Amino acid sequence: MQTAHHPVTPEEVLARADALRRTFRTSFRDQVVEGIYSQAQTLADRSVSRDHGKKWDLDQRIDRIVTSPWWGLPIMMALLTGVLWVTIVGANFFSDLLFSALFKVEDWGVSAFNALSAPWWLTGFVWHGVYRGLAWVVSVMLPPMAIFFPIFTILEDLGYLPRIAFNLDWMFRKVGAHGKQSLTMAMGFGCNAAGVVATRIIDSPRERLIAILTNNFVPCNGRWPTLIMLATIFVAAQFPPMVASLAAAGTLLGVVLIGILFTFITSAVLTRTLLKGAASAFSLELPPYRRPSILRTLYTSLIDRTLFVLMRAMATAAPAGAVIWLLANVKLGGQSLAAWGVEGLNPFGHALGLDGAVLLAYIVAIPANEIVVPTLMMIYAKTGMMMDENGYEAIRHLLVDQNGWTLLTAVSLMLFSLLHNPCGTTILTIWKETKSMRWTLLGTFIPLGIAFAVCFAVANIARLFGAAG
Amino acid sequence: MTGYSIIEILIALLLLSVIAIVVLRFVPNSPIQRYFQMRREKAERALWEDVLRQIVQMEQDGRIVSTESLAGTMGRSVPELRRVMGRMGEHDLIVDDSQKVRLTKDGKRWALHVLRAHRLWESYLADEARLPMSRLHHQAEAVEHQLSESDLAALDAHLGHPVEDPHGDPIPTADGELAHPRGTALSQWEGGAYVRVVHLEDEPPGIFNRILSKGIRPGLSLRLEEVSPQSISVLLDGSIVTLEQDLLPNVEVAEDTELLTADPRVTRLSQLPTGQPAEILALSDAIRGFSRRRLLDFGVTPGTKVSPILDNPFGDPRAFRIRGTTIGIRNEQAREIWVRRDAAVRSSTGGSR
Repeated sequence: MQTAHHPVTPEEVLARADALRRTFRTSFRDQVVEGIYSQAQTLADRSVSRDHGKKWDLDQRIDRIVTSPWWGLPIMMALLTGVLWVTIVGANFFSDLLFSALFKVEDWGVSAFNALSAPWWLTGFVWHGVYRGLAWVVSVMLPPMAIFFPIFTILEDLGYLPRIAFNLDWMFRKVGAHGKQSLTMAMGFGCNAAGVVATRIIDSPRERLIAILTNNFVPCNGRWPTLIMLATIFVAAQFPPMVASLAAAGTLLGVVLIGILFTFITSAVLTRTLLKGAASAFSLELPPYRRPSILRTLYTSLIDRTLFVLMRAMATAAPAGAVIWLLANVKLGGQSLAAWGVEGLNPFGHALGLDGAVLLAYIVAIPANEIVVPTLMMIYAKTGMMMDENGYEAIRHLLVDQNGWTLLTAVSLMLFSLLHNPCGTTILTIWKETKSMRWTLLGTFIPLGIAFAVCFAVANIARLFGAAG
Repeated sequence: MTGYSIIEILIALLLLSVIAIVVLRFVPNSPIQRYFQMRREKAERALWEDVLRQIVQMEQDGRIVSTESLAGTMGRSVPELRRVMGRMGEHDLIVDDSQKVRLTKDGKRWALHVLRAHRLWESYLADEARLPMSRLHHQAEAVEHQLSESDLAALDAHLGHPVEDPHGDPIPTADGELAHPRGTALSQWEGGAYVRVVHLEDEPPGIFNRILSKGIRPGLSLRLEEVSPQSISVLLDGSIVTLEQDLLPNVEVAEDTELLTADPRVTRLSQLPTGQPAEILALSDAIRGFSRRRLLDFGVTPGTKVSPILDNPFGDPRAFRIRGTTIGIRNEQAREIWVRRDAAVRSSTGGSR
């Protein structure tokens, strides 16, 4: 029993394995994978019966059309325009209904408080401040979300989105980014914070950072109401009623395309400066089409997405409503704080084609973009509360006739809304995803800088050619 | 009350702090002095490591290492190197016996650590971060001084224990073993040979960038066309590329055993017409790291049937039917996948496309 068969120690096994490994070339890994696959193939052939039937033929026929050299891109555009149009038409209708219903509740609440002889500031703070902020957000945001999210989820369920990534990958490759960035941008239409989280599907760290830093150029749901309102008031109103909603949808499509243009420009610049590198490999599975289950889609998109985003908006809108009320009602040297802010920001706002009130609204609305429009209305209405005028005609009256808005103001605000810094939640999400102060700051200030530069250029060029504003 | 403006006070404060820093700079053991001391030590250490790595590389290339030849390759002055190497000798890292510089046991271990850090980091930059080849060396030169043994072990495991760096140079093991490169310089080959690029020398950068600009990459298969004393022209991707004489020693190649380019039915996946079925033969070595793993995960393995089924508005990427799924692959990758056209199936479906 000497040392003829001494037991092999784990260290010896490891050392032997390591020595052997170094004799392999890269092809060894391939051979292992090949072996696993052929084994799996044998097993599958023995036990799985396949039906090469009509489903696959139909899938391939659809794929040939939606990725075809001629029809691929026009179909994408048409789908996007269609979704925007349906959202605008539906949202107009339901927003008006919600407005009148919710503001009736406010009237009741105010009467009830008066009947109980509550002090004026309590009534003002609770009903004209907090409640009105909430009511605005619900009636402005709920309809577009409740329409847009389900339609979008259906497209997602169908399996169409990977085809978009496939169609557009070439353009992303040209700017050193990844085709899957189009998927994260699609998520950004709903919410930029969700879009930033979705960049986890991009494996290359460099391309993932590009996707994070540019996601903000896709207008999120919080910005749709602002854009829809401006498109309706300033563009659609110039067209006969028959085509008005189409004109508004066309305007929105234009805004989205400008955003995409800036995504590509910024990606290209990042690829050549801060994030130097070549586009990585792209391999993407195009899954078979599936029949979406409409009911489940409605349920999940309403509960998971619409309600989630709405709750978040309300959580920020209520305190913001309170802040707005305080700003408008705390007087300093005979002027409200809001008036001081507007006055101070006016020259700067004017240089960007906007005014001080818009900038003040954006500062108050940093936590959530959703409340920009209500805040703006409140600042304009000198009564110190958010306007209870409902319907787009009333808003038009307030903006154009009382506060001197022009087409230039509207265009500047659309561009600013599209390009400016991400909301507080998105900034926080960028930090959580990158764990880097540097990228968080860049993610915040690159868009803000671009927004300032673009608005400044547009306003001054337009004025040079004699535009009013 | 004498009226100093805020600006004047700020300027005064600024001046005072500049004076304070300058004075503290020369006070022994002050924080400022320690900061500068630390920076000097770091720079000195980095220079030592550069010398060590250079020596081990030159030894591997079979070149005689002397202070003069080191100064030449590193772009430093001879007196400076002499001073540095004197200090390194005192620390028992190198032995300089007037004709030849050798590494001691400790020096060799340290040198291989730095070389390993350099090549692993280049692999990481090329495979995962997808930095262009021309920028790898410069970036790795900065990072190689900051990686510890455990960093390298983690990086090595993360990259899947690569054996070679992106240029085709062997990566030393953690135990300090260094394999020998396997190629021979292109200048030693004759016309008509099928070869595969196994190594590109990345120094000097001028030559390296000219090689890259010709489209030459490690892992590519070439056929040597015309060999003359001034230049060699090679068949690369269907077009003829001419390499001038001064580039040839820096391109190392090995015989391409598979002779893929000889069979007329063998082609690149990117050149397969839509609807034409084929069988995958091999993935070229140019697909590395993450891209290769990803393709293997999809089942893109030798012997698999493949057929391009979808074009694209821009012609790139195209989608392929592989193992019952549809997968989009960029032409850049499809170019590096070799396939053999299915003769039989082509005739039966020839009319239907």
